[in-house]
Amino acid sequence: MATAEIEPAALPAAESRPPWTAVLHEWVVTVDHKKIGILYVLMAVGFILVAGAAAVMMRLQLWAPNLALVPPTTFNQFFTLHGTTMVFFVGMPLLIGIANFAVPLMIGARDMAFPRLNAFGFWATLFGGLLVYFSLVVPGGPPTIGWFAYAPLTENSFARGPGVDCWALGLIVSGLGTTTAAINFIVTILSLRCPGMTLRKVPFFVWVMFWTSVQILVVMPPLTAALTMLEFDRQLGAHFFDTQAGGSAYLWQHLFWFFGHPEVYILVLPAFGMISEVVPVFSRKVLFGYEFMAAATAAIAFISLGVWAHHMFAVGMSRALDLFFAAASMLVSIPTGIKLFNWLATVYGGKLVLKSPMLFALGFLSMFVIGGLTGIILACAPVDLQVTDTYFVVGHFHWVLIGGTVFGIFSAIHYWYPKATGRMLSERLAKWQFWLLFLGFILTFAPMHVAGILGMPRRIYTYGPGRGWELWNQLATLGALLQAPSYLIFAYNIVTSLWKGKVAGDDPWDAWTLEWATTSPPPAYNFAVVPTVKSRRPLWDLKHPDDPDWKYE
Amino acid sequence: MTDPGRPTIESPKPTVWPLVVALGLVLAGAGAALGTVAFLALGGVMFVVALWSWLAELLPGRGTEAEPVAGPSPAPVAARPGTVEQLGPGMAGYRMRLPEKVYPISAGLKGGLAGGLAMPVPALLWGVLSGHGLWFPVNLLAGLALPGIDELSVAELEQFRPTLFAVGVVIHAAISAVVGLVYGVLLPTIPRSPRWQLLVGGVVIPLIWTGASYGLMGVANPVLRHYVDWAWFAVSQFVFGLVAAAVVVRSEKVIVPPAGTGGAAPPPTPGEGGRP
Repeated sequence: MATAEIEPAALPAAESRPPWTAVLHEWVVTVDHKKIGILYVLMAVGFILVAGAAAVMMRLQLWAPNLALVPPTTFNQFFTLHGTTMVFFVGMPLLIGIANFAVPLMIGARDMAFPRLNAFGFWATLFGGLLVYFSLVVPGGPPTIGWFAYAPLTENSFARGPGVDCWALGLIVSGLGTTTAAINFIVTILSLRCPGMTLRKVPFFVWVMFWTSVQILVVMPPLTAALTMLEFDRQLGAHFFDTQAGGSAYLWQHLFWFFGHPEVYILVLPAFGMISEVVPVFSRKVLFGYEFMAAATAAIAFISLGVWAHHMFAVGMSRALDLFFAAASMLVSIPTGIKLFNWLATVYGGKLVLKSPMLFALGFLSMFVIGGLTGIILACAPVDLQVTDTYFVVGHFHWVLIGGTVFGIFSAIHYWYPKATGRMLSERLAKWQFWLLFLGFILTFAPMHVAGILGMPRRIYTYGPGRGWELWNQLATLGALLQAPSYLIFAYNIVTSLWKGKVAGDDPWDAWTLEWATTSPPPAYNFAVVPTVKSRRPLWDLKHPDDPDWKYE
Repeated sequence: MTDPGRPTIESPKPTVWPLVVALGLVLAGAGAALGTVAFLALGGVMFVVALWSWLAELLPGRGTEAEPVAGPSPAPVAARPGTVEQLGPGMAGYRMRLPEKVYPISAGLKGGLAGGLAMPVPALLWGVLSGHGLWFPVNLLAGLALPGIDELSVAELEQFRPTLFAVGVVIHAAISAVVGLVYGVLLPTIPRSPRWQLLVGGVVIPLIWTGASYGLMGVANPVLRHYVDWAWFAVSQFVFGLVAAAVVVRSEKVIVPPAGTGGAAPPPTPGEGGRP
């Protein structure tokens, strides 16, 4: 497998480089999907450093009983900003950004269907995030409501400052951006595929982004409606969620989780797609069971729309609803299991190439399954009642979102960075990043499961001694300190490799999808001539004309 | 300036208006959050003006430009014919089914029955040592299928009762045979053999079985749950597991024929590298 060991090219002479103001202008007004994708990723990297710092502060505060490193209100603001940022301004922008970069290239298109709307999606997400953080300077500071902002704590009676308004309006604006991105993906995938690329022949990541976009389109409007109703309550005197005036806190929970649980799949499905691109290339095998994987993706997209109230078992719903949502939640494990077995079958018997994208992919495969299993445990209503709002839940969803989404994203960034920049990332730094993240992640979140079973509630800013929680919190804090440098190494690697990285060449991984058929980085128009394909692996067909895939698909 | 002689591709023109639309929205939002009319008004004006300008760019010929085809061309994708090794009928690993070798069904059956013969030893020993006698564990086992056992006194459960004896033996033989068959199927899938197979069959599965029994016996057989000594119960499971696993592991494995058209081909040789 060729992995581009070309010496670093000489940097362009200083006089030939455009002035930084011109570069800045070019990026600010761009409608090129590749640049917009990179902007999304850079934005998310900035936000992840901020929200990660908040997480480290929370872990330090929980190091020992009765610590007062951080005041209680500040602690509450930290976990609100941390959760909100990681979901809305790190996870989704990273996935949308990577897809923005890769999808048009993978389908042989010259850009997204609506390039200007694409730019709007990015700016709306960025400005929405900045509006949320604007709450840092308003009277009363940021909200203290947690990322799912349960009513009636968001009402004026409990949150008097404008922090909640900044939070809600920021999410409305960024949600608008996310919705436009979803529309753009759907139209692009349906209408801009190159000749020969039927829907059954799209690269798997593209297929997954299509269904993710469908999910976004279904679940974002209810969240926007709920946030608008909340603003009606706060600004115009309505009482949708004001329980003291006849409003319903229960209504907020339904509206929020109708978005909130599919959101987990919105965050993890694209990672499934990324892994499905990386694992075959680095196993030197075709993706096992494409059709079943495709069907499983659609099944997850549908089923996940009907599981939201498993977040509400402790509310006291009817027995019938508990049973329905428990069964529906467990049902998701079937298509997810299909995917997992197919990835393993792809790896099995392959000639594994353990470069950084594959390392992160293997990290995903090993860790995501554990997060999925604890998800099945939580889907059992009686078990859920015992551990609701404990650190078990915190451990579980971080295991899914880091073990699944973050590992998948890092795999994808290490895979496509050479295409985006023309330079290879440093493998040495990538391996440091991987092992620090892998070990630190396990050390952080595994003890949380134990602390949760021992009864430690989430969101408490401190705890008394003698409850058996100290050891687990100290392990988790050590884990956080271990994984924190991995993110800094990543940020350092992606910046310095722009100058110091080896020249990548067009196809550094000897891969098979269309993006590797153009230059690295690709020109603004992607392909001088729109390609024609006959199979899901057009570059395989070209490289191996004696054994093309189209004979078998 | 575009060179008229060079090929060009029509591309969307860079524009600042999407940014301004988003900025207008967020400024209006900040105005609403803070109750600042100036922000609200400024954001509103920016939004309207930027949206209007954006829409104007959608008119024919206004929002696109001719992007010259420039810069380096991608390297042509080089064909590498003859570099893919094909597995075919008769080659090791062609349409292979895993595991490549399994124990025959009879091995599982034999293992189950052998384990079934060994298992009563600790069970009956517990009956005698606990002072209840030989027939007590047998009668308790029959409670799995027969109703009304819970109405019998301890003294009645300690006596030989032909019906309970017959039912107990049938239950024991049936479960032993089924679990033995499971061993026959499961143990070949354990990667390192035969020590690991013995460990799984003799220790791991009995542990799981004991744990499951501990949890479910209250539903399946409340009488047994009431009287059983779990330490002795576990010992009897280990005895069953070790004997059954030993019998299965000592059996001769048979080769699984390849699927599909490879079925007529010679069997794959273990250790060769071919993969389907």
